[in-house]
Amino acid sequence: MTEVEIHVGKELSKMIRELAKGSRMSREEAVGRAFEEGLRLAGASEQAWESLHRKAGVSDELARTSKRILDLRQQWSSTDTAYARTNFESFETFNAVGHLLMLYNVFRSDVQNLSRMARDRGIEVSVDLKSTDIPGIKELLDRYLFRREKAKAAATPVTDEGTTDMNQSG
Amino acid sequence: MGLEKLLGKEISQIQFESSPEEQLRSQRLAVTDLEKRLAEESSRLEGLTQMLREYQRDKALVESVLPALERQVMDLKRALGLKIKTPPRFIKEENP
Repeated sequence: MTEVEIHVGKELSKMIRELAKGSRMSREEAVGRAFEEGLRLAGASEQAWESLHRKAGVSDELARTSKRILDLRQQWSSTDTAYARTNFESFETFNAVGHLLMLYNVFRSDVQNLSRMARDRGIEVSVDLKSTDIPGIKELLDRYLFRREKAKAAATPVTDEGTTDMNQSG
Repeated sequence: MGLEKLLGKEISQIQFESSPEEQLRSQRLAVTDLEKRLAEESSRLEGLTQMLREYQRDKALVESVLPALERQVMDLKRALGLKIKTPPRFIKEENP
């Protein structure tokens, strides 16, 4: 045995004993986890997986199944992380659009009021609001501003006494 | 092969709770369950990603008209001799 093998062997032996003793996990789960760590430690390729299981007296089918479980767990974990990240980005973007739409409304209102003021003072100004029209603006306002307000209102229902009942959910 | 021998010996000395048949059965159930959960999670992620793309598209659309609108506000304020209190946010060339 090489020094690396001895080191890995010791680490794995320790790990398998701990896994088997400290938890109620199944045999191949304990073996699978230990091997996975062992392969990582030894820098070996994953092709050694089934060979290692066979030497340890675990059937090929069990070895394949345990490997499949590890792969699926890994995939699920990655997908779950991606979901959390996308969810956060989605929330941030939704709020950003709402904020930008509020500014859009403020700017348009400013342009209308200021141009009226200019006309009243006899100042000639050229205003082109049409070039800044957004197609489907009503749907956007509904989606990002009004619907959110409605949802907020629905989440805090008013009781018969006219006070907000915080124990109820919308 | 020394490592494999050592491991095989170590593992064979451990007493596990269930028989290989029971283990295989429970492992297969675990695979089915994980595959189902993964499919559900992937589907949720796909839906959310699509929603995020729509938000990003809408954000870009609103952002595209804000500089022109802000410029009109600034021009009108200047024409009226009003003081411009805050620096422009969307007109890039006028930002410091």
